Amino acid sequence: MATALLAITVLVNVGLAGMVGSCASIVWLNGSRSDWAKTSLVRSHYLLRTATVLTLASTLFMLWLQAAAMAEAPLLEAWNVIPAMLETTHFGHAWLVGFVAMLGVLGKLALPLAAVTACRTSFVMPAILIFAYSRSAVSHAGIQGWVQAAVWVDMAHLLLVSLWSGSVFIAGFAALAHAIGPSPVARLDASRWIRALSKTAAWTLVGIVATGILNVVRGLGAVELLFRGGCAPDRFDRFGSGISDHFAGPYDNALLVKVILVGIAALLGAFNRFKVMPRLILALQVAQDNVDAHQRTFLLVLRVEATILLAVLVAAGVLSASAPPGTG
Amino acid sequence: MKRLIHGLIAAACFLMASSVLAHATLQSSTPTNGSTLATAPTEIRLQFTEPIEITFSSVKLAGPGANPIKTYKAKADKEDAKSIIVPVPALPAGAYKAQWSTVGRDGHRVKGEISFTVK
Repeated sequence: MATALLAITVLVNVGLAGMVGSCASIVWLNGSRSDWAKTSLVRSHYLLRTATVLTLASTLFMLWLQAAAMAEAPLLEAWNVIPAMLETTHFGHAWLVGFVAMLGVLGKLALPLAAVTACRTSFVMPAILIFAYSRSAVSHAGIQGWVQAAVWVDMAHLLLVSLWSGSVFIAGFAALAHAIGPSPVARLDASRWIRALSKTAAWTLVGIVATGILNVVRGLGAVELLFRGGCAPDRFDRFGSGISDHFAGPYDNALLVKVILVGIAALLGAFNRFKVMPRLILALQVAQDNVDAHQRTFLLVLRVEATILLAVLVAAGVLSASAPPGTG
Repeated sequence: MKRLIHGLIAAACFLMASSVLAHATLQSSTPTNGSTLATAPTEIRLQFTEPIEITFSSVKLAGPGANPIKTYKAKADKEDAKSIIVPVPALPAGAYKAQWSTVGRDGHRVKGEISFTVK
């Protein structure tokens, strides 16, 4: 059951990342009129739909598995406890909010493509925020209730990881995975899109590190450790020893793996940003013939980075399914 | 760098003043674990470190000879979302073990037991 819950949590994370990434791609393509942009827009829309269906389906399945886990009932008998779960539990209430938000997105995406292109993302984004908040509300951060600073920090972290991994995935497997072509307009559109991706990834990484540190401080109980004697600087030495004492269980191992993977992905992103991207942008701007070669290298690094970020999402799933140190 | 680390921790203190370690664990109980009572308790009260889901909480009580004792349904303490109250019937003298099981707001199940003796 624990493995199934972990797998479904990862699927929800992957679905959410796909939604956030394709939304970002649609925003970056706004106003672009080239053939390259049109193809990328269609691909981004397709991925947004697919990711929404994946998120919705895995969220539904998660409810079923969670009901079985909470009631300690066999899977086939767990249906009976779902009404009580939805009616009386914090998990059930948060799930309902997130599910309704996802249903709204799916309904919106079912409308004809051209008519709703502009409004899609503007509707989808608030719905994604609501869904992410509902996920964080049932994470370790939300244990004290809905309206907690810890929940906001966790939601920001979840969305930033989703934005980074989703946009890298979209770039590597959809938007940049087809020829940009010789058209100057297409080259201009593609350069703009690549710059937006790079800028977003850089700022996203800063946000991930900041919110990640805050999450780790909470997760490892360092805040409590400090609060027992106040937030005085002389307590900070104990914070360090507290961390070293904790690195032993599945939560800590998953955390360590996640940090290492984020580090590797950040290095790959930096390589693309400082080595490959300037050459690609230059080739696009001065209409050089070697665009395809630079694009292939850029794509290759993006695809490796996307695979590592997928592993980050798995590690994030393990973190949410594991007991933080000193509990459980 | 040291100033930066102190700043981040201070920010964490500010942001998460009410946050504690996740996953509910038993903080205290009445009767307390391992206690010997002169008078039989009329209820078992369990207080956890986090709010818990009463719908998915239960306590199984076993008396002398590990015989199961029928208890009433676990109920929430209206004043404290972290507590479970389980009314128990009149308990004769002997050793008792209460196995509790509950679910935290993050959906994770936690279990444990307490024991006490009635003189």
